[in-house]
Amino acid sequence: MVAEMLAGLVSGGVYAALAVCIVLMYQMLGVVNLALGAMGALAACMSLLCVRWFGLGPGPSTVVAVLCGALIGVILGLLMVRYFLEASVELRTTVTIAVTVGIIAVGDRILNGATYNFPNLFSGPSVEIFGTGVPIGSLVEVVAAVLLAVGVQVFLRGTHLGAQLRAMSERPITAGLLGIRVRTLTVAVWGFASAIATIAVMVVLPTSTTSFPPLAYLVIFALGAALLGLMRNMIVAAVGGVLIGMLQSIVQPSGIGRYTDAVPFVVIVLVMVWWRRSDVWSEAR
Amino acid sequence: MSILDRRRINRNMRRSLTIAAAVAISLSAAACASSSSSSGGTTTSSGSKAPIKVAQITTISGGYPFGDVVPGTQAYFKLINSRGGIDGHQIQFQYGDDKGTASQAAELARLYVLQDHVVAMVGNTSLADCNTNQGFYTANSIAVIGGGTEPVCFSQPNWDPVNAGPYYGKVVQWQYTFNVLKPTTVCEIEQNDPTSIPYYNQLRTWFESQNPGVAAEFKEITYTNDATQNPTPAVAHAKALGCNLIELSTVAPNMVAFVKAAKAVGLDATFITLGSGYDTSVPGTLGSLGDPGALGPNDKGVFVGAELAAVNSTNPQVQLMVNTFKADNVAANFWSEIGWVSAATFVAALKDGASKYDITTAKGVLEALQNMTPYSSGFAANPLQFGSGSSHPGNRGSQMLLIENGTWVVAPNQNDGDYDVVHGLLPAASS
Repeated sequence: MVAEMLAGLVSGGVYAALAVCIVLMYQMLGVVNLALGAMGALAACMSLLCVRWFGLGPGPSTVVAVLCGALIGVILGLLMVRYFLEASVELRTTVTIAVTVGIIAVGDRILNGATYNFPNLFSGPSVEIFGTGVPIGSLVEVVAAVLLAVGVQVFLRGTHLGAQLRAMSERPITAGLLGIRVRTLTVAVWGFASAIATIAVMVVLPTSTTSFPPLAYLVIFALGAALLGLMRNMIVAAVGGVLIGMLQSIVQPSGIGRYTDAVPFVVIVLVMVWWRRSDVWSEAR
Repeated sequence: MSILDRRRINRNMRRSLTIAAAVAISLSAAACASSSSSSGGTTTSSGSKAPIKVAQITTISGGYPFGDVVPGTQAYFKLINSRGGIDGHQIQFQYGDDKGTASQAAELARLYVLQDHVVAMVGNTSLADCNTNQGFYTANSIAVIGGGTEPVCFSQPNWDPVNAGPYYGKVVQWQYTFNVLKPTTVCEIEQNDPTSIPYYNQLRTWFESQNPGVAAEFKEITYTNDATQNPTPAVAHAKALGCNLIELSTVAPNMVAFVKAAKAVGLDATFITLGSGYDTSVPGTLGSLGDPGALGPNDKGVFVGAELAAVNSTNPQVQLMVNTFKADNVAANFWSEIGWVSAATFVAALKDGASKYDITTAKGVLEALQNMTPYSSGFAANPLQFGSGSSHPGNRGSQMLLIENGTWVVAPNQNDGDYDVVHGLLPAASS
């Protein structure tokens, strides 16, 4: 059981990082970005191309990939502020679904069924915990995701820029009239989240399948974690991501392993029921 | 209507158009990537005789990509057409991606047979086709030669797989495991495929009854949907159970991921995989991790039961394929081999029967296939033959390959020379 739980840190770390970004974008920009996994995976593919075409090492190719991730985010952010700044959450979210489909189509062309050696920043020996090796990159990712969540929450609540971002998310037009640079900040958040998603995907790539769609769909599991934090609390979302990864890891080798994919769905349903429990009771009364 | 109202309406219209454009672009890109509507167009009929129209339904997009079957098939037909075709008939080939879904497989089959009037399906390698279209193919006298993936591909009159398939392949895997590798504890990590799991379990029970003592060595069967999940939990579990041999049933990218994950968690074990894991890029991707002993003293290497010949075989038919693939820039792997061998078997049967049957009709092609002379392809453990039976377990062996010094080599001690063959028929799948 302990070995399987620790193995879940690999997936859990990615879910945690993506979940923090999902909550950040939802809180700041009013969009549930379902394209986050695909954006990160597409940028991560750039590292592979850097290795193949230019012979870059793990460090430089990772830097290029993260920059590509940020660039993809910036481009999408520019499109969103240009066309969907005042659109509803539902509409913006629907657009990200279309973006996901498009990116998967491109990604499938890059990763076309062969095997690939993605650059591994943490290629050293694994850390031995209770007799099980845990990739050091996964440990770093889990810690980094939680620190990111804490850092972003502190930043939003304790700094002037954070206050501006919160104001922007509540009333973008009013914030703009007050002199807050809404468009710039929106694009910056898109770029930041996409860069983080790229790092998250790159950490898991050395020990995961290199088929593109599963990488893009990592966001589904992260969404379950984001819901654990009620799309508000990044720290709970990060911890939730790690827990979902661990739970999947425990379920996967068990007799009900074929239903592992349902774990986030069960989590989402339970959270939604819990979240809306007072509404139901109110109506019942 | 005020200016403000008009502006609002215009703004809303612009947004709607933008959304529609975004969705349209995305869907177009997806359609482009999946090639679902693409035609192979490998040939144009230049001779005076009517062309032989054939098609292929393959799962190209989705978690289990078999897309390389298409260029493998195209390469062979292109070669044959350049040599004058079959008895003067050029071959027209088209293909479609069923995305692993029954609805798409059914739609494509009807499109090709009823609208495009193809006379046979060649190279089909799909997660849905055998199950979905078996009645349709039989009713329309359409013969299919391709890569079998599920039990029904091996148990219907009009469908002939050129590969040993996951079932004969699995028994070969067990034979080699217990006769040659002799592990003390085996963990099987299977794909999460509800169409295969019951038959695997049935086969395992049958194999254990045929080989007393084996049951004690099967430690655990772990189901994992390796299309979407990280392999680390499964290998961590295998390590906790003390397994020193891991049996996989997966495609090459996932096999590589499992071996890398084993290294990460410190699992010391041998890996053996079905033919779907055979890809020439694997040794290079794994590097020294693929060599025997890389994971520890229990690691006897990374093995794969190649259901068709290794591409570094000296057999002239294999080398013809390799050279053609090089010229056509086609990746050489299990999937492209399936396409090539399917096409080669089809052409051999039609050349054989061209004088006796009308090979431009579905019925004539089916008869030519049913009465073909066994074809020594150079790729399989035994000659391939469509035959007239109710099922076609043609290829009953695999070639066990092992990674050594950065390449696949034929593994030692196989029961039939360079192949490990299942002697006799497997039990039919229980309904």
